[in-house]
Amino acid sequence: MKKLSKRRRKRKISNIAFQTMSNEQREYVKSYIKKSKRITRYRMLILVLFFAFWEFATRVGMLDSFIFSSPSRIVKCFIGMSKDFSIYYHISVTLYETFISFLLVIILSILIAILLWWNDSISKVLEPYLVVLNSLPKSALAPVFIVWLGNNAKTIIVAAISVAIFGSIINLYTDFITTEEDKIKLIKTLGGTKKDVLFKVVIPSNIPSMISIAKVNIGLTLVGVIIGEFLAAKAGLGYLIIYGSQVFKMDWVIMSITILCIVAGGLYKLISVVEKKFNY
Amino acid sequence: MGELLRVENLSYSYHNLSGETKALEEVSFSVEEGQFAAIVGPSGCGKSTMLSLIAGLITPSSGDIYIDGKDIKTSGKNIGYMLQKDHLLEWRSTLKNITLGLEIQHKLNESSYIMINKLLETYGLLAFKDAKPKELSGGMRQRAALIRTLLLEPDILLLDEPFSALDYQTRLEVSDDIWSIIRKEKKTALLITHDISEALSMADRIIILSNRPATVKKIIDVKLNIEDKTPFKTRSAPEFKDYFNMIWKELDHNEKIIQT
Repeated sequence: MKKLSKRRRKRKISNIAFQTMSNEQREYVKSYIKKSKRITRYRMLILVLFFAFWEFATRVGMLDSFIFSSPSRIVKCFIGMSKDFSIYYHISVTLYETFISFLLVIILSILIAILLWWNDSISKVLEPYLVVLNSLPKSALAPVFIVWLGNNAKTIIVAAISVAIFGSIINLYTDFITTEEDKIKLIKTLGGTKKDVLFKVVIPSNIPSMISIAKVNIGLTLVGVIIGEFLAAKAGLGYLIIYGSQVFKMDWVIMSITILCIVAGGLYKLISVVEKKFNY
Repeated sequence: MGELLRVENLSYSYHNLSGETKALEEVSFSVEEGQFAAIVGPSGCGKSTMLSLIAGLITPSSGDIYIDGKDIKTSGKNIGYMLQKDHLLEWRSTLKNITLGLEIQHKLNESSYIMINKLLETYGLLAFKDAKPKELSGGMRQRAALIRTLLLEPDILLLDEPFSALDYQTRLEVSDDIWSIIRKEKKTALLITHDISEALSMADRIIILSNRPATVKKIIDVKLNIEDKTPFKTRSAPEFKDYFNMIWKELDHNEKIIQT
């Protein structure tokens, strides 16, 4: 109710603004709104057509619904698993693991990037190791983690961190060292120490780059979590996918993938909201 | 009025793998208290290096710098430095930018706001104290940067081509502005520029440097017969042209280029 009235108020304001515009400006705004509406329409159309075709093809027998599943089977499956809350359990396990790994990646990479920025020698020494670890396919490490850490959530979180952290450190460090020289000089001329340079200039000026790194990392940690769940899990969407494919329950697999699409989109949106708050 | 800044036989070299570059060689000059001095020299002659040395950001290869008779290596120096651009931090409000220096030196307290508000009001920034820097005009930004420096109550102000990033018209206005603020606050200032008329319009003493490695070619004390000196009025003083030509001849690098 409250939301609706707020939206209405907003529309009213824009209506007033609309009336005071010149004709030309009004035309421009109109065509802009028209265009963005058209884009939204096409986006929705693709989605609807995709699901409609999928449903149709499986109904008439063009596709085998046992192998390809179908939208109606996915919905049925979801409702079925909702009744005993098992699907929510799997979703929350994956989300929990993703959030933990994401937070750890962000905190660790900021701390390590600060350390590298602070000490030039350490960064020079560690550079080749970071480059190699960053290009190493991290899925190769996952079996090692299982042996070391056991068949549990710890392994999954470590695997997810390993996917995202090295690239994140390298990017953040590069952004840190390219902070405008003159701004650093400014702090020094005002009598500041290296600590002041860090907290007054380097970190605040790199908040946009931290957010863009967070945007990439939320996706990467989700990838890491799913890889981890493939190998070492008793729950989670990744587990559901791998288990479903083994017992030929393709409805589970396709439903989990659909949910993952929604989760990935949602997480990205979440970071965008945070980004807007920091826009200056 | 005594001598405030004395530079003696100052030399400085830059080092990198391809070799050594001499920036300054045996530079000596002095600036009196309350004086507005300017250093002019061709681009890349080591003028900025000179200011970095005086500000203590780098240490000289040889030579000494004295402020108020005390060697800056041993005495606590209190120097205000204005960079080529205002470098207001865009994530801070104008007020927060102005207090940056005090904040760094842990001198920000209740009583400093009285002075800050007074300065903001005198220099027309009070209404903009919560605005972000990008909402300020070029001149306002320079004034904010100057107030940021002045709040630290420096003995001497170093100005490193502070107007070079501005367009010509703004530049004339802002140099009038900044000059009168410095005069009003009775500060000693050292300006570096490659613009002869800018140096002449603002300074009482002009130190002319040669090409790299920079040495002092000549020191000129500017005496103009005009009342109510401001940088803008100085430009139309009768002696202005003569001084200009005198400095131009000293900086004869252009002639050489034409001849060859």
